[in-house]
Amino acid sequence: MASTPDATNEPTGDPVLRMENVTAGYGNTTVLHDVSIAVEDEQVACLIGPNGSGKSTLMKSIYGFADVQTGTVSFRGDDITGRSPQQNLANGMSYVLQDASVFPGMSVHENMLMGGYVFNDDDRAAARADELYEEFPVLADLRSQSAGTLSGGQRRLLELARALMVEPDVMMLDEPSIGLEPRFIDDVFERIEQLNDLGTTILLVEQNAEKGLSIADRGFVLASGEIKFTGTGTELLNDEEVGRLYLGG
Amino acid sequence: MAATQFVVNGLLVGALFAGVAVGFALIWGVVDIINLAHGEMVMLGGYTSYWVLTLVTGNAEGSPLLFLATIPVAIAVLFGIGYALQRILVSRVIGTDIFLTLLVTFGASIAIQQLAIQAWSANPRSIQVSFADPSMNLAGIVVPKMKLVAFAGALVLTALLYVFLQKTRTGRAIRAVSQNPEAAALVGIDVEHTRAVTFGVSSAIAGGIGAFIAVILNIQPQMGLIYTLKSFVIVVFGGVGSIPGALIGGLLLGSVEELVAGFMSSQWTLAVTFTALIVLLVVKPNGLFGQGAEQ
Repeated sequence: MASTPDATNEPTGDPVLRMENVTAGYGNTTVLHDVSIAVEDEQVACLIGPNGSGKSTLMKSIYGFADVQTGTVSFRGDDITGRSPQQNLANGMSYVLQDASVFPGMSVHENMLMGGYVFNDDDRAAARADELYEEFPVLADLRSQSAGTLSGGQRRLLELARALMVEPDVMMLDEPSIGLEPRFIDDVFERIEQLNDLGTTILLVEQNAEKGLSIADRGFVLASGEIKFTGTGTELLNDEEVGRLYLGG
Repeated sequence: MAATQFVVNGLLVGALFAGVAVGFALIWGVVDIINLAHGEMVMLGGYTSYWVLTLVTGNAEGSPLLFLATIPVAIAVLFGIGYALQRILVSRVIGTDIFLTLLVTFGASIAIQQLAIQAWSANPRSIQVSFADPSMNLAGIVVPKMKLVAFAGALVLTALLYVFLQKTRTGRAIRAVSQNPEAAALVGIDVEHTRAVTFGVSSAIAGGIGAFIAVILNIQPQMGLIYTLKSFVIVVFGGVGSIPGALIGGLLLGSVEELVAGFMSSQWTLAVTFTALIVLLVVKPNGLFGQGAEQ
């Protein structure tokens, strides 16, 4: 196990998403220091680490919500450093935030249609929403309900389904299990694996490190804004030092 | 009968207050700014209509139809001014301290007033619209026709705004930004552009109402403050973020002011209005229809 990324831990295939020597933060505050990661096509990559280590900032710096001060972010070989969320969405990346990101004053169906806002075609958005209702029948039953009244698990499913409206190549999920009851956690992870089986690349931040690494092809351990360990999900799960420091023994 | 007459007068004027307040509420809900320059958009709308009519007729007088034809011009001009104001100035202070946002919009208000004084002097002006018979009598209630036109115009503008927000793509984007700006960016909405459009649309509605005010009252460069204050009262009264609340709040404010002016004195209107506001805030702090920015 390497304490920093090196050639032996670089992915063998073509990375779809890559950060190279990225230092990032918000305004004058730096959170990430010289971070490099690479995520291969159609794989699940999981980022774990203690609270405040910079996991969400890493996701936000990829998607244009945080300031990349030095280094580059690339998507399928194109430099996307500093691109706006709109541009990243158009490129085929979608992102589910850790915080609640539904529109609480709109119905479930209106939220779904907002997921297809970039189509500029209401009929196309409605047709895509109908497809997703078949995959998420619980949302079909709730389609007229205000999103502000959903439970945590239902809200998470809505956020996932809405992010799928654009049929993304890469989905970035920030703490999808946070605050959920165990039965919903299993449901959410099942969905993530299904999405990956269908060819969607997943970049996952997960506080439930064992759960996250168990489905990950590649894992990264972030601490104090730096990548401390990388490896396959299984390697990190079986690593004594990672286990002692970050997996609770 | 006198009370009914006062209430009718109040509703006729109150619809104008409501139209102005709806735009004020929209900016507050979407951009999270208390826009102290909103009243100046009313003033500029009035002057735009006044000068368009003056250019056409030579003396700011004309038929009702000719006057109504100036309103789309006022709306278009004020949309541009509102959009530019947000993009150039207000966008720089969004998300900062509330006092800074108040200071910036207050500064814009003063600057626009002073420019208007330099351009048009401080003298009050008004548009003269000629009706063969300027008022009508409905069961003993006298209704000035121009006030009725202004009332209908204000309601139409407010209704159009409501439909725009509910039924159009841009309207949905505005509602999305008001409810969760970060999530709006996630689904591909250009949040800054949407905020500027919100400023533009709100200013356009205020400008359209300003044109009506130029006919039924007077316009002058320093008239804006009172409309900003009334908008603030109406929005807090109706509930921040509620367009129906702003509409009903405006109609109520107009009626209360006319009743107070009629039975007491016009000097008491502001005192009674703000006392009622304080009482309401104690009894119902979220206003009559306040539910956050659900619209």
